[in-house]
Amino acid sequence: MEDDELWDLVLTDEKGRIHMKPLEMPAHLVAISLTPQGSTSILPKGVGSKQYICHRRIPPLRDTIQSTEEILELVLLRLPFSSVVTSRLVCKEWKSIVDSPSFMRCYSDNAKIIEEMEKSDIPTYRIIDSNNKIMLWTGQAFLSVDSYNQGLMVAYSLKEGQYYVGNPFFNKWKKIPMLEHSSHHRVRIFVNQESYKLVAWEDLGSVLTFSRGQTCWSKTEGSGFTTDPVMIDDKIFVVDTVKERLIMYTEGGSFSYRALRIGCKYSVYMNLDCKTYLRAWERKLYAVVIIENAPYSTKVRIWEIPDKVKLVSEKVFDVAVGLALEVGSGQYLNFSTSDGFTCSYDMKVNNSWESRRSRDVSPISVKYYPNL
Amino acid sequence: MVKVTLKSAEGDVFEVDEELALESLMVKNMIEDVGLDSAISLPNVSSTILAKVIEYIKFHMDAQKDGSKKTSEEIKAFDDDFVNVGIPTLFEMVLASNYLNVKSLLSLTCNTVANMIKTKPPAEVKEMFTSAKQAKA
Repeated sequence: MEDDELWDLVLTDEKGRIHMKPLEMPAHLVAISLTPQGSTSILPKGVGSKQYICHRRIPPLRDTIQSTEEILELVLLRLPFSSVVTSRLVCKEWKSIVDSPSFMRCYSDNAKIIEEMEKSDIPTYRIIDSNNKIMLWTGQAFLSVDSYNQGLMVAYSLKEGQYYVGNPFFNKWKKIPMLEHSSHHRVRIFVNQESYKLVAWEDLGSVLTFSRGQTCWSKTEGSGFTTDPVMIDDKIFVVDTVKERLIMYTEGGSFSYRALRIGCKYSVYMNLDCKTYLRAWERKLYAVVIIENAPYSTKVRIWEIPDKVKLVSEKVFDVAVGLALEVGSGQYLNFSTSDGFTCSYDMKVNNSWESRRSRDVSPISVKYYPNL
Repeated sequence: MVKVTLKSAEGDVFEVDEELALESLMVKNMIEDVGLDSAISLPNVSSTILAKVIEYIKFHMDAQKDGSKKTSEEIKAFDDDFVNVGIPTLFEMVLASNYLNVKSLLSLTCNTVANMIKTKPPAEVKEMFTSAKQAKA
């Protein structure tokens, strides 16, 4: 551990503060990986704290280096986040290197974001970078995290009824135009290079999208029960489980439908409980349908939805009441029930089910966005 | 064993084993393109730095060979000693390893500089780099 005094540093900007001081990680924290499609809303109740685990990439090689600045960039790309922030204070040249688009594109760090519920219901956040330096997020404690993706976060202020997009590392936040009845919405953020897109939806209402630079949300027709949205190449997909169709939203609020016969139709008359999830893996869409024939069995079907709908795998469990797909994207699909049954499916290998085991979902990286 | 001739910025000639030269992906591509007949000219790399790079690759190649008795401690000691040079030299090595496309050396040199920055407050970092600049000039 380095000299504590070195990190007793407070950076101030017009919007808030970041404190940096070393702190022991509380041992009682429960670790949950959160992935680009992840949200805190589905996490188990009663968990006092949440931890977001992020992942660092190796900086790429440069084609040619002409200047000292470019050498420095290669070096600075390898710094932990807290040191990148201090590097900006070294001199003007360093600040401009760190704030350059090429740095922002390449930089990422391993970090953890820990949400803790202490005393009151107001969460506090601790951000720990790969050097175990803690940046305590104190400025806007009234915000609760809705969705987190590549360094950008959607947070909701209960007090104001207002959504913000921000970089928790810099404690910089930007107000997002108001949503009607915003408390009924769930909001996800999708980050694409230097831009971001927000998707808001209700269980029974319309889907709204908001892209960086727009002044208001674009509203598109609501269609009843849908899954959580998934984004591939700037297009947003949801599955409408009432009319059994895939809906694709593209730029400018336009959308298209496609019928989807995957047996996910929701019906209150049938004695079947049916849950549908949408996931993306390697730029392909997968629908996971869990059909519960209580109390006898639970059937899980995984469908690939590229151009033609194809059943990838089917598995019947004897009981597994309340089986649900856990948050996350990546190679593994993790399923669990509230009474402790877990199993996972490997997307790379056909029909590779493994019971009583949940596997790591792919982590996400923290990116550098100083100017939101 | 087939030899490869490398020519530094000053025009000094270094004759190395082909196996060693291929560790540089840039040289490897050059050999594939133009063959082994003529010397491979490396105008961006000075003789001092090229000698260092060759020393580094040679040590690590030997250490990886079957029957090598080098322990990971010894390898680490070599690396630590290898980068125990001033910032100007480290920068030249970053430049050379990026140009020659020797990933392990690029990581080693970049991480060395990064570690020097990591634990210091901005004022100290600034001083360290200013004095390095002056020493060079």
